Amino acid sequence: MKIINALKYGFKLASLNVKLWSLLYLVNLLFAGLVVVPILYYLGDELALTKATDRLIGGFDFTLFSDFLNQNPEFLRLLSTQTLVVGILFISLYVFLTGGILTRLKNMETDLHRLGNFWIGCGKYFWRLLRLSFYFTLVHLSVAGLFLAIFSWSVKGGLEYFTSEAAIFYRAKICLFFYGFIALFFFMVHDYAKVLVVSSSRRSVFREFWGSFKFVFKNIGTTFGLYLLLFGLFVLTSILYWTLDGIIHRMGIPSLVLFLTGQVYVLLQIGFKLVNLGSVVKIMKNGVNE
Amino acid sequence: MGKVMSRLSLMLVMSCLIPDLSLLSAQDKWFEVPLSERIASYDIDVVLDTAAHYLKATQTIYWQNPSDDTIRTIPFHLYLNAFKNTESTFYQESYGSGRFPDAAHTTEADWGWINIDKIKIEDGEDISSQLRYIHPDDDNTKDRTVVELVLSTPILPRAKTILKLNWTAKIPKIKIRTGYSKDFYLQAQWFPKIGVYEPAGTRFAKTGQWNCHQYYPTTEYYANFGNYNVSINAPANFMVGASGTRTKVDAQANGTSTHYFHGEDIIDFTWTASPNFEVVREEYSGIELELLINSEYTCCTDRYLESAKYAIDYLGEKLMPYPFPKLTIVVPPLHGINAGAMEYPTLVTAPGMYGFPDWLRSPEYFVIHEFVHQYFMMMVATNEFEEAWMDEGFTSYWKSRILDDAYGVKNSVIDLPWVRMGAMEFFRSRYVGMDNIHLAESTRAGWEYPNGSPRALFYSKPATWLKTLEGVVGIDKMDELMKTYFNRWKFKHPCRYDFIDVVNEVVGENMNWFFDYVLYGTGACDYAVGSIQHVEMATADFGVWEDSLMVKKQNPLKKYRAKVVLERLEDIQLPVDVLVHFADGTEVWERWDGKARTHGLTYDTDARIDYVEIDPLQKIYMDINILNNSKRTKPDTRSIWAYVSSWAMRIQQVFQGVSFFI
Repeated sequence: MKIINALKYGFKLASLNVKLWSLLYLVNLLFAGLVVVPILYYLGDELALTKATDRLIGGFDFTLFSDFLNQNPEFLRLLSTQTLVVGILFISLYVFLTGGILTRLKNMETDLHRLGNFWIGCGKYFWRLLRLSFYFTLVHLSVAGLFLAIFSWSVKGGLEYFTSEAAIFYRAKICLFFYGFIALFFFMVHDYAKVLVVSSSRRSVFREFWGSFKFVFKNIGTTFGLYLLLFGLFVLTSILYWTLDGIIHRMGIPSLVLFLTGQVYVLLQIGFKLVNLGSVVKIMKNGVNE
Repeated sequence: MGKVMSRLSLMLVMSCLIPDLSLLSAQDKWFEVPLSERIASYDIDVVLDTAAHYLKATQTIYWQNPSDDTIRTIPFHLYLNAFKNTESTFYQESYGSGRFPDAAHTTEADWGWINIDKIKIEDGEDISSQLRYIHPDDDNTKDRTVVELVLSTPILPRAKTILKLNWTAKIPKIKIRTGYSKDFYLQAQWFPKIGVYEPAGTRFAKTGQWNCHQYYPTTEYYANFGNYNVSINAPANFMVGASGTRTKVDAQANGTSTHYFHGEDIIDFTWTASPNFEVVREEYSGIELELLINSEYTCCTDRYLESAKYAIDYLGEKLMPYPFPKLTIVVPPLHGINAGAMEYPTLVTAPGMYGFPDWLRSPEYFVIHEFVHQYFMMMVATNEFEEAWMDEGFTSYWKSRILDDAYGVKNSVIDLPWVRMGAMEFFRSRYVGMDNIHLAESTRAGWEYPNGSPRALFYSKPATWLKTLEGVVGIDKMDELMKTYFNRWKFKHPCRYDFIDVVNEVVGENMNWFFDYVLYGTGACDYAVGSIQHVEMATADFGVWEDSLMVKKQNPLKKYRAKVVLERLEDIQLPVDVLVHFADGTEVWERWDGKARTHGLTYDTDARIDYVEIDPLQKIYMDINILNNSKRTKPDTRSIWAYVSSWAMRIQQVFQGVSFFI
């Protein structure tokens, strides 16, 4: 029941925060634009006068792509560098915005129509949330390294030793499954730690780091149950979207439809983030009250 | 006189000893009338020792002198000696390819060799002391892949001879093509095989000569046609597959089984053995299809078989129905993948993997490629050492045609919603993407290229120019000339001159100029629209009556003089179509012989030119840059915007996905 209530609360908060939703969407669009627009101008300079680009009307064209790369070998390096740099900036901005989002979600009942506190929250908690993200990144790297080591040990000798390839794949699947489970757990703890950071006035985040573990373990059924439910909904939505995307591609429906469908999916992704954080706020409130 | 008589009587005795196919049961015999000259036939009884990875064999070779020459030496391929040590030409050319570890990191189990223990002519004395290793292609005196028998008694013109051999071989760990990997065995190039004696007038031979090259990593085939009767003794739990048809299996008392195989009019014999094969058999168009597949790959069974059936039908219609009664498809396990993607008479290997994704048509790609080799090189038996393009190039061309026909021109190899690739465009990209497209002509022998044999010159370039030839002469003529070439030269040994002759004959004009470019030359082909210019023309004024007065009016219709400059940027000169599209929708098709460095077109028209496109139907498939083949007069980025918007969307989704976790 706690899970359903928290989830309902999350959906309610998300639905009441259309402005926040729009802001996050615009940020997303802007950063994608930062990657794409220079590329667009680059391609425009190189390809605007050739009729070969008509081959793109039906989607990806390997011949066009390979000839373009032969003539412009620097293109992929430019694209990847630009995506990486803009991606890092995007993540940093998102950490910045998370402070505001949590401040707003935490104070929703008293502060529904004011966005001012949102920006205050962004600035106030940025460095703390950034440090927290850094610590959790270390945790994730450790977990990933641990599972990689377990997998390597479990398939020691590789194809020389194993008579069955399926056995190796099976071990990979098992490791991936448990790794996914553990990684999800730490992602969830990270969310609770973020809420604790926003609820605290301390500059150090270590207490919140450990406090979130304590809280999650104490309420493991509710916290992880809620997270898995939300994650399941997200996966289901993603499967539906990618199936639809594949159908649209195969049917040769105009790319505008594909783009618009993609935007709906991005909006849903943002919605899931807000629902998730809103639910966590609710669980933590209930937990603290208890 | 007495000497001549004794030779004649010897020949008569010999001819009686040529394997008698009538001993085979009627159902085992393949052909009533031989398809080839059957110069070299083999009976081999081999025992596989799976504990030590040894082969022990007795072998009889029935060879007929095809010439009017007297033969004083006989060379043999001993190709397992390529894996004898680091001194072989094969190893030295392969080093650094990743397949051959550093000698310091190899064990005894890695190496392989073959040794002729005894050799006799008929039932004479052992003359193995008359064997000497030779290295006809290079100065590597340590190479042991060709051995020559110096005959005390020469073989007379047209005479038949019988050689009896006992030999032993150590099977190498599979590095490439042949060997063992755990309990999987693929035995290719595994027995002493006689070289090809080319009488004067055969291919490039001005006088009679042996053609028996050393073993190389990229080329390996040239052999006479013949019949093979091979028995393979292996542990009883091993499934054995081989070139030819299985005539019987005898269980032995020592826990082994002997598998008997028979093949006719084939140029080689290859076999495989493993206890882990699942066997799937099907009859299709009178051919027994046998799939030997690792039991973990059976989800792909249909993909291997259906692609083979498609290729059988396609080439059956375009060239000739597959004449052999059997096709065996071997799918090696991943640990033995280096034995995969190879062609042998009536047996092909195609790599497999557990959980192979549907969107990557690797099983189909390799089955079809290796099946096409049954035609080009197994039937039209060119010399792969000296003219690899005639084998791999023709195969790549036909493979691409079949794949693109079966699965789609743009997605026959990779078929994902947002990334896709067709077979023919894959080969073109390999050719136009070469580091140095002018590296070398395609006519060199395999070992004569700098830095090893560049595969793009054997596979991709010929496939691309054959597609271009198709564009130049038209698909109907192309099919006709290919069919003529195939049927004229099947079960024989043609060279490039023979193909060129057929092209000239069928096309009805001398096409040598084309081959001068694509085969003997190192040039590339690149046509471009250089510029489009418009000059507004003065138009005559005209008069109209207004209130009984003639009033001079300016002509409102504009006239343009449009000048187009076409350019040839590279050496190859090919005739090209040019499409000129005007803003009012009218189109003019031009034909340019493509010879001059530049070519001008001028039009006096009412409408401006919208765009000019050279070779809009992409007939000149080997043009290395399609981007400069056309030019618009006004920039148009709509399709770029539409496509890049899909990138933007993916980037948005990745960013947002990442943000979920931060």
